Amino acid sequence: MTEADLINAFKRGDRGAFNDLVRLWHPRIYNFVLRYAGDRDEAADLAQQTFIRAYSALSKLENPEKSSTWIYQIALNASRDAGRTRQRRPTVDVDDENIAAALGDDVLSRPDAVAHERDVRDLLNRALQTLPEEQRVVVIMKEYEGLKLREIADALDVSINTVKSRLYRVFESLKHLFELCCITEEMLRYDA
Amino acid sequence: MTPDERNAQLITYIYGELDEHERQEMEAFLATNGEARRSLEELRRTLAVLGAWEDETPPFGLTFVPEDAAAGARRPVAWWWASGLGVAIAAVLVLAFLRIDVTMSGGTMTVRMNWAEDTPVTASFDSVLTENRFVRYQEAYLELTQDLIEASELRQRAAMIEFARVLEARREEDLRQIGQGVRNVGQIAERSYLQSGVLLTRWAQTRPSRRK
Repeated sequence: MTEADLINAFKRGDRGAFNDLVRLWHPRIYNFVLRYAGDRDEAADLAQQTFIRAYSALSKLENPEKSSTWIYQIALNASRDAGRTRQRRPTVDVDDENIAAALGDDVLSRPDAVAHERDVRDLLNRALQTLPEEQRVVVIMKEYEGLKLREIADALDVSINTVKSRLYRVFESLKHLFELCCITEEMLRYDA
Repeated sequence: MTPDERNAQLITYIYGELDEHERQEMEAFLATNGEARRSLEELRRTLAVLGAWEDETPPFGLTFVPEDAAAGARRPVAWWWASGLGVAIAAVLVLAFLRIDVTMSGGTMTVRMNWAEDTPVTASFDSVLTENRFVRYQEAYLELTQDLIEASELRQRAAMIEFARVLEARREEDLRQIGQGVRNVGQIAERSYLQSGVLLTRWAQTRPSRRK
């Protein structure tokens, strides 16, 4: 059964279909909120919150074909709400001093050694956390979740050109950051 | 095309979302523009670094949903759903009393008992639970816990009674043996006393008189 079939089955009263939907969504949503929030425990909580909200709202979903963006919208709203209730994670402008502070001086002084000592996830997570939230969301949705540019625009309720320009700014920032820290694909693949 | 428009097109191109006409235009542009090619290559390198962060397997977790949200569903939950969870709860309950190793992965709980290490027991159950149902399961859990505690107390009480009975029997046996021992010692002492008297009498009779 497709996602839309399961949603339609749920709307017809087959509550068990939601179990199958959670199985489908859980890996995607967990990894989405993990990269958004940067913390495994928080990601697990946010995924739970997402499914609770989805359960309440699923019967009102008018177009099951768009459920892939709909569930990300819910996850993003849950993440943003959670962010408002705790002290906001500071974001930093991408300049050399702030990068050093965000990644740790050891990354700059011994990039190879540190990259091999540390988890790749940790390194890239901290790189993503240096980005402004609106840019972090689009790069996660595009690069890791594989949403189409149009789907991201719909999920964020912005124009597709806004999505493209945010993505380009993200890549400019990350390119500068990776060059500064001598982080290359080969280095991370070796570590992985 | 402005620089911003070109950058936006590069993003669309690299993700393969240009239509055929736009793609051909972009490739013609790239063929004649070294700066654009460098930008594209840098984008690819940045994406390759980001791609090193692979997806993780999420931890298993129950999702608790409000009962009123579930009210819209017309059909009741399937019986196997509840019974599957009941099996899981019962298995967890047993853990409170027995030393059992439990692992959980992807909705499947594996129970490995210390006396049967080669035969793990598995139980699968779904991850969505309504609040009211959760409360009912909690109540059932508490009842089962109480029953197990009472059963345990009864067993302990029976064991104590049996222990006391054995102890009393042992004590009576010990007392009987002590009494028997005392009687034996008395009889021996009495015999020794009588023998001593006989010997003394004989000695007195055979002893020459000093007065003579």
